[in-house]
Amino acid sequence: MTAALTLRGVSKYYGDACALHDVDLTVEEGVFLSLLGPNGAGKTTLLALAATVTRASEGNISVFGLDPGADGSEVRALLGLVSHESFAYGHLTALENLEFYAHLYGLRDGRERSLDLLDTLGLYPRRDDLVRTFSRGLQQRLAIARALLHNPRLLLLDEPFSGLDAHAAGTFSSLLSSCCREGRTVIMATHRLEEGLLLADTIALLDSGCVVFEGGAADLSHDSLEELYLARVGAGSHPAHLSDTRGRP
Amino acid sequence: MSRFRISALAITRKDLVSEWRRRETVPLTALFGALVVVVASLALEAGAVEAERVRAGILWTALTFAFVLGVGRTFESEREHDAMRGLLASPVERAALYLGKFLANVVLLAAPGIVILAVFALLHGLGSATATAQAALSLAAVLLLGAAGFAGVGTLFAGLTLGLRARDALLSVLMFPLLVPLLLAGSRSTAVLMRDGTLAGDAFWPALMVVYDLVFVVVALIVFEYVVEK
Repeated sequence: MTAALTLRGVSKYYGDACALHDVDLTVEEGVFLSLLGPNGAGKTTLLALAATVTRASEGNISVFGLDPGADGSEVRALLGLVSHESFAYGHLTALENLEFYAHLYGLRDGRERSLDLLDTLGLYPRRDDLVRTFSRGLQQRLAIARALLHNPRLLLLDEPFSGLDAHAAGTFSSLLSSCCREGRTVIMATHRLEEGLLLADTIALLDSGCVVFEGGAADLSHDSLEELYLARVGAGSHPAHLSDTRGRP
Repeated sequence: MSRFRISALAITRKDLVSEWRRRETVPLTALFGALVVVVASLALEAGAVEAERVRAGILWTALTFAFVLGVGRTFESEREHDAMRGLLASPVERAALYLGKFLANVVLLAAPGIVILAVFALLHGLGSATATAQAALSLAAVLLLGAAGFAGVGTLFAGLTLGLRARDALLSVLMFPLLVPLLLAGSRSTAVLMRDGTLAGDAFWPALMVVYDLVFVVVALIVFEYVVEK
């Protein structure tokens, strides 16, 4: 099976600050990986690297066997990214925003696909309203629609539930479940353990730019995950060698 | 149409629709440039200034300040809701992103440029030599070449300074030295037009503007990828 995402010895520096340090991570195709860690752990940077929005300072990244450096456009066509920001344009309507991105993704049925997603996410009645009039939650729903517009094989989600009300969160969870059933790969960064555990096949814990745990989620309860989190992250654990810390607790 | 062109035109259209609804950049740039013309006219006693090169210098000084202000707002809509990240995460080629932004900037600079030119003409006149249709078209072409040059350099450097806190000041500091040849060529071309009503006898300066625009746009198309993915 092809790995959806492979990171080998990846580091990312912003000036002198190290956001990621020597990260090795493989995410197999069709897997839902929850990336957990406190603020500043490097989750957003890892997703930005996977999304090819920024370049690694050191190491190699491969997405479905493609090199983002050489095949950037091809790689990005396979990805959908949801962040805590909507990436939407406030002076365009919801439909115009989606149609704009549909053009960038080269979709032939962009308008129909946009209208379908607006309907699915409960935004159809607001399709012709300017996005600057939207609440935070409505903008987040639009962001999800934008990320799903081109049926991406790999979904990168950075705190995607933030700002969603209970109903919208439920709709999004259902959408994610159907994405998993369709064999899509999902990587979701969150600092909320419950959310992270809900749909995950695999869990990775990040702390201070290092992966401090990587393992299956099937046998983890919320309590055992919390215990693990406190032991590896909460206590300030910062192992030097990834291999020493991988596997189940 | 290729995906490159579709993407570039989608970005241009998006920027123009956004500006049409916001009505920020064009009015702000036009007003600022017109104010510079007025201030310079008062300082130099409007009407007393006869030399074409001085008058052309006033016009291009106003255009320069206004255009720098205008290109500083190139990625303003992308800063809102971190839309730049959305653009970068999409499969749009970076060169297409640059081209789309560049084309939008040409329009968004040329429009206030016309207003500034009109205010200048009102205060100083453009000289009897520019009264012919051919001279007016030549003047419009020089203005367009200037807008294209500023848009070419400005779009590149606006991308470079996008994530920086002191981006507005830095943009001016970085751009002004590079704009000297364009400013000089624009000013001289305008002075020739004011004097002779044609550029036929002195094509060096407009030719320099064409070469300047081409060089910067081609270089920017090549390096923009590295600028925005820094």
